[in-house]
Amino acid sequence: MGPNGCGKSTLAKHVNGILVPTSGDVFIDGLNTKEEKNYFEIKKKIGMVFQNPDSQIITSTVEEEIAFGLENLQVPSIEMNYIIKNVLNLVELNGMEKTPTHCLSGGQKQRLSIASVLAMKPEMIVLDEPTSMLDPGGRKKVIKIIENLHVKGTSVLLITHSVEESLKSQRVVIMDNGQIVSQGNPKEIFSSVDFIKSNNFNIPESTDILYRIKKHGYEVSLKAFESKKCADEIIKLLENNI
Amino acid sequence: MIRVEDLCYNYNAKSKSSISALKNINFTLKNSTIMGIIGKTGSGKSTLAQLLCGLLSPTHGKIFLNEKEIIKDFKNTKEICFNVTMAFQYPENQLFEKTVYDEIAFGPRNKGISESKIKDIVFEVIKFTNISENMLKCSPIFLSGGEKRKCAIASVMALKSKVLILDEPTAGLDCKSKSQLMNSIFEYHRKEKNILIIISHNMEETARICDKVLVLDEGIQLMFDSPVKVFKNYQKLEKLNLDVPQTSQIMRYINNEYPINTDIMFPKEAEEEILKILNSKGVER
Amino acid sequence: MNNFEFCKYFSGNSIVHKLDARIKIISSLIFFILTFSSNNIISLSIIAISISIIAVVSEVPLIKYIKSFKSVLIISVITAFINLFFEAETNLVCLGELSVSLSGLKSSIFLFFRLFILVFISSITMFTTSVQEISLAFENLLSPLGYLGINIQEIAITITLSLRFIPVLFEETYKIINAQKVRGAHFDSKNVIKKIRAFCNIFVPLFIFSFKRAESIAIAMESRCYDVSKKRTSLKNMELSHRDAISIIFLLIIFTGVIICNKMKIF
Repeated sequence: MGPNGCGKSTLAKHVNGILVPTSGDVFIDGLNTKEEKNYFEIKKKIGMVFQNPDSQIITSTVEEEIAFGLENLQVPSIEMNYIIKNVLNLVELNGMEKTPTHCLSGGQKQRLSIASVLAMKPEMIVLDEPTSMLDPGGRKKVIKIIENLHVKGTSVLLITHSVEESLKSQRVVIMDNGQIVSQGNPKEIFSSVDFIKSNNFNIPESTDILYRIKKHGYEVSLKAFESKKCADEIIKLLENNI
Repeated sequence: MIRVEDLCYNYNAKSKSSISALKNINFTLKNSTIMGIIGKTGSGKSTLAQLLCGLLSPTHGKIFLNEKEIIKDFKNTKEICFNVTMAFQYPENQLFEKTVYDEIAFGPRNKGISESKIKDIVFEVIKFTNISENMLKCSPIFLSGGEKRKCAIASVMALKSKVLILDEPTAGLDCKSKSQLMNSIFEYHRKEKNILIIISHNMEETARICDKVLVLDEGIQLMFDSPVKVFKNYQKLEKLNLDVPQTSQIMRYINNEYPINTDIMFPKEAEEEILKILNSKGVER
Repeated sequence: MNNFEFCKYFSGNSIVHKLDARIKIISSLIFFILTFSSNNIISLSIIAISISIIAVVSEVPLIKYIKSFKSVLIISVITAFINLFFEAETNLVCLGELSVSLSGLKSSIFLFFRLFILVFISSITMFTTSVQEISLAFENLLSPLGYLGINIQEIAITITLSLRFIPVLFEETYKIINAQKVRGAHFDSKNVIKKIRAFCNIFVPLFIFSFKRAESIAIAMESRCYDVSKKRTSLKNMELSHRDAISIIFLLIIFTGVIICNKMKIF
């Protein structure tokens, strides 16, 4: 996480070797991104999904889009149909193989991009603000799919502006001016409100309310991020002295 | 004042494959109100915006701006545009002039305003949008994303129209630039007292600055009311997969167990309300 | 923008739809040649009848064909009309300097019908073949060029990308025009110079947009392992079926029929 222009996307592009470090090294499973012979292997291990759904879809129909990566990996055409069906199931776009890509909604396009990366069976998937151009409905679906991926054992590196989305992760890295400012467990990080405010993040309103109440000297935990938990915390306080 | 009467719009109206984008929209906006339009993608928000600026003409129904009917009672589209302007989504993609100054001056120049007055206007709008004066000579192409957006919004503000429509003005920006841009838009509105229409997916933003909220679903007007009343209908909104400001959600949860005012939408009000109850109960600190 | 259709593909499930796109392209070419080589009424009507049969089998509504005829009607009438005066033998009618002869009349009627048939043939192919199929067929048909050292894969990916981005570019142009319209640009100005300048302003953002798109697409392709020098497999392999074999026979019969009729001296 971090403000626009803090270097998040640049970092992400180093992870799959699109960019190569000026100094220092990036290793993917022991493979240095600087060495050209590792180029193919690294891109196969790490899938990338970008912010703008329109500027990463290459072909005109859904099935061809997924096949694009497979064709590059020289997968025989007999296996392709099976894989396409499988990954479309994963992103809930079943039965849309023949749909033209320009007829999809933003959320569907983004799910297609995830599917076409998944088809290549990457070990890790890097998503660069995949939800920032979507409406709330589309956003929720994409996040749900990313969560499912993680459950199924794929590592996920998600770049986002939304605190809500990053709370689902195990580790958060906060960047500013091309440097890492802070990293650690998201709940720890986002409950230190002063730090977050000084870094210009929007704190969730739940934390904001609890923080305001705590300022008046009441004993509440700031780690309640979901609305329900926050409400419980306040109810506990209210019913304390009845 | 804007009055929309029974507005319908169909794409490809004449052919058999006509698609209905808007059905029977009715609302009235008084001068100097801010209206938010919310709805899923494809619910007709952008179509409505384009109808209001006269880029599309309604299949059925009428739009009045100060009792003049849009399209019919105006000389041409240009004439309408000087009264109703809009900034499209991602307006930074549409910048084209050589310098930021020319970009902002493009609208007023088309309006036929004298150069000295244009200068005043440009300097006025860059103050609202926090664009520094030495940036005016730069080419808009080489600005950063956030600055381009500011420049694009400034260039529609410079038209000083009676109605300004912004289609997702803060989409894709980080939190800091988002709140900065929203504040400058609000400041501009306070000064100009124009009608401001904001299409947004950000419900907290909508709740904070809008006087009226229009909810669209598949071209149908679902609600048109004050934000408090609209967000009270949270079940309807959740059905549409739209968010509700988190504070009002929290207040509802509390209300399930403990009676509390559920009309509250902002953390600051929530703080006051909760403190009031805590104090009256004498809860220990 | 919403009316924009790159090709007039009419989705369906008829025999003509299912035919191999390569066969369709080649047979339309053969039909083109036949139409222009036919020199009497019988050969021309053989072509016309067989084309009409194909059109009926294609299950595309007649109104679609009529619409495509309409679009070329004026051009065909004008060409035929001009052709009227370009044969000088026995004059039928004299209009001052210009004179219409019997053979002129005959050849212009022929020309008119030929143009009609050409439109008919290309409409059938366009209505029943999707853009993807056409591009795949061209890729396949051009593959012998690979032996000449031309990289066919590169051409294929270029076709794919342009097919994908032509509608996107149209959409973007429409957006840019609208964005400038609401800022009072002189698109409907009566002053020609003002109008031209207004249209020039569209190109700057459009170029920037295209270059940016190209860059991000290149990155997206690269991160999905695209490498020009590597061989790629293909999702769809074109295989000929018995249907295609039958259609080839059908084509051969018409071909010989027309050639024989051309030798006969009728009309």
